[in-house]
Amino acid sequence: MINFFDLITYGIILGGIYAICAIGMILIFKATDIISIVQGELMAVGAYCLYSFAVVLKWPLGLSILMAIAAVIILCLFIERFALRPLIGAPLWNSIMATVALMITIQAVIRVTWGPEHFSVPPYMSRTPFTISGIRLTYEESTIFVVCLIYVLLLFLFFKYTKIGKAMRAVQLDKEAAALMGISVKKVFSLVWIMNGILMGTIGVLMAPILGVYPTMGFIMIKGFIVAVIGGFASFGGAILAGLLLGVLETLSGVYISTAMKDIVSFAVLILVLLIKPTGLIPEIVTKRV
Amino acid sequence: MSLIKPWQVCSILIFLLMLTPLWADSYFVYIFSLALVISIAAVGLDILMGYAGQICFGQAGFMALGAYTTAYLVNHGLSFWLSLPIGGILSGLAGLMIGLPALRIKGHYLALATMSFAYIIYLILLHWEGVTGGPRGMPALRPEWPISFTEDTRFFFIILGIAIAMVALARNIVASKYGRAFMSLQKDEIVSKSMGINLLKYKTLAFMISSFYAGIAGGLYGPLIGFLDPQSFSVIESAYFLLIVLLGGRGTIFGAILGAFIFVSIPELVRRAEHFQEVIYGLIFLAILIYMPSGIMGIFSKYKSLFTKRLGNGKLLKPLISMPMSRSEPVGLSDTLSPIQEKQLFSSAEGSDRTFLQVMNVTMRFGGLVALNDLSFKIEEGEVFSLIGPNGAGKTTALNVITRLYEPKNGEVIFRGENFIGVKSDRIIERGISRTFQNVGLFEGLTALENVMVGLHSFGQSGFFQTVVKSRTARQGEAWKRWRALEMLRWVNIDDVAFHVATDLPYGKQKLIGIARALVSEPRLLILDEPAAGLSHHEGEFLMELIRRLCDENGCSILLVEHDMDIVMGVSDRILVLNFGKKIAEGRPEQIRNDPLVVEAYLGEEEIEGDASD
Repeated sequence: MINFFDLITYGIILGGIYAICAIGMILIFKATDIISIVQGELMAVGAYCLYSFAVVLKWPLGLSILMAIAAVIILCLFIERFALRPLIGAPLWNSIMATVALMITIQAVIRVTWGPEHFSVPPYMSRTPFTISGIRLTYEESTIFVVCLIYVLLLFLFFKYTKIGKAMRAVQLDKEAAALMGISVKKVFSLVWIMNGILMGTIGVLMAPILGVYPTMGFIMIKGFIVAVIGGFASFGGAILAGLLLGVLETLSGVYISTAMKDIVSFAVLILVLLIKPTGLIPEIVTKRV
Repeated sequence: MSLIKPWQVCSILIFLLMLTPLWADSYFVYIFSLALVISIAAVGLDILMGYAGQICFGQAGFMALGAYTTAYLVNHGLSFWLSLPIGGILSGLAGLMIGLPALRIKGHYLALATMSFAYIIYLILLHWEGVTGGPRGMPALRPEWPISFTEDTRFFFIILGIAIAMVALARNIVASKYGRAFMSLQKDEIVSKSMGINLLKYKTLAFMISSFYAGIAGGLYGPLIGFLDPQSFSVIESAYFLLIVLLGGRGTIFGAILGAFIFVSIPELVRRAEHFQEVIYGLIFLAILIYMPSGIMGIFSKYKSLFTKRLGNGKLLKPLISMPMSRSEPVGLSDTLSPIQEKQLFSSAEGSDRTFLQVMNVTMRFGGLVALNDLSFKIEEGEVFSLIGPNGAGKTTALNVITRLYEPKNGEVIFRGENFIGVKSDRIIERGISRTFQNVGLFEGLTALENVMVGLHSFGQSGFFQTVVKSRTARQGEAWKRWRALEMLRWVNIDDVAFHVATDLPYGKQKLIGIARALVSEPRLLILDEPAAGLSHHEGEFLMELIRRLCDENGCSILLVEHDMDIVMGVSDRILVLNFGKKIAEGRPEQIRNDPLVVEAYLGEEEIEGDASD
């Protein structure tokens, strides 16, 4: 029999992953108004790179992690420069479709390069659980959770206190006006995509040992999207809460109802949220200040 | 006039397609069949995306629904010929169920909701093994009646026949009032509402049409392949449908078909690596978005009239209903009732002898700003009533309250004995009120004539099914509308540009088209929101003459908001002056001109400006 608390913690890991995925999306949306469908593939590229560096090439772990994240950042810069920047000024719709096209392309490239196999990556640290006031945790789980919190804190500070962070919000509100005020829209776009690269690279690296590396792993993007919507598509805090909620809900329904229900539950939640409260379940606590 | 007529191109293409089994081997025939099946779903999606401007990320999901339903029914003994439409209708209903709630939300939420739907369908197919066979799939049989269609070349003709029928229906929809309504709501939702287009109804309808087409395509796809498995209907496949529509060019039926044929032939060109084609798809997709945003048909847009049937590009139909109307004869006076008069009589049969328009104690707030403060006024039948005042005085707000675009905080609007609070904005035009907009608000891409025809949206008896099959009533109604719209353009003296794209015309002509669009429904009250703004002096004079003629000939009342004092003083019977949402004066032009309050608040500035320019 599986321990209930183990399930909860597994749900929390999953939720953390969803949340970072959603945060990347919200970040891009906040600054550029684009919904990035390519998120999942960026993460997959990070995971595959880690696998190639650490397992195939047997580079040291720390170097592999850094290089994998760097690879995702470079990919992001390419995407921004060659696919999205030419579309600045075109209908928003086209930019969103462009990320769909990128999703198809990158996924196909992954299949061509690495094949359809399912690879596994050895865990970074011991999986023996430790206990904090009665709750069993593993280092892996707590790392994901801590990383998630750190990123949110950094983003929060970034948007609140840095000049460029404020510029980003201006660009989202009105690109033309922002450009007239001397804010470089291009620079903001690049920066957002670099930040997104760091986020998605990190999540790919963190996920690789837990869920394995396989071509369709990018579909987690849809979950990130769902989390972003439930969280209100504006607040990072909302995304974390929604991510944890969905992660736990999915894990529990996967075990107590059926594995098939696992995914259907999250979509059902989404459709419910869209029907009842299209602005998201979590009120915009953070948005008002961010 | 083009030398090649669209129907000629079409019949040649269809003839060549019919000959395919003669010159091609069976594999080629199979590829063609596949392309035709994909075309059906793509044409449906194009009506939704290209015409109604809504995004759907779940076309493969709807296709799966049709495919599995049809195959399941056939496997359980029902005839293919019954199962196919059942599958299509079921898929259409699913479109209604997803569309109705999902269309309240916009853009990316809609994309997500439809994508989720497709993903749920995929998961159900995968896991409901008892019915769908799960990952092992499910056989799909070909019809055995009236003859056996197991041979690819025979089944090809079924697919070709159904595809032609579906495309023909799609073209009928697109060229009808439904197509115009779709285009209008894509371009400007607010203006569409005022033209009597019920947004929710039309968006949902577009969604249903799109999913019905997907369902029929699915029902044909199964028997063509002989086998159904969930992998053929994944979310990626839905994304490919978007690619197909974009590739051909949004908003052209022919483009969707072209896109489908190109899409299906790409893997035949690159058979080297299994997933290499997907890389190519993705890159083509990207390149189109960046370099060719209006698709392949965009390149041909110069020769568009050769391929696509756009209303008004062809010959003018002779009016099938005779209704006398010309410049010498007042608009709308005739022995037989036009559809407009019937509707107006029906909608307000009892109220003709009461107050015409009465606005009572209307207060309108936006947050802390009071845009209208306890505003009351009356308009009598047949008079020209002007609302003037400085910028931000609440003039347009008042118009928006009357046309129900804004919900006032309190107060009442009574038109011919009917309280308007509770009437939806898209039903106003039927009651006999139509309006123009400050920013003109012509529908981009539609011709002048089509724009004016949108103004007749609410009128006419033919329902959806009559329109789709182009019944006699529908054709007569359409011909009547076209003729009437042309008469209207003639009346404002711009019938020479009837077939030009309206938004490409000079501003003055656009304004007149806007007025013609409002006039075409024979309103009892015409609301003009700054009609002279941006016009030359000459055009302004023509406008004044037009307004006078309107009142004299038709007895149509006019509510005018205008800054040009020459026009206002020249045409108005009575004037109301607004300042900060409050009425500061009301009366005949000469009274207003001499009212000290008005001079201080508004006219004074005008005069100084006038002196400066003299």
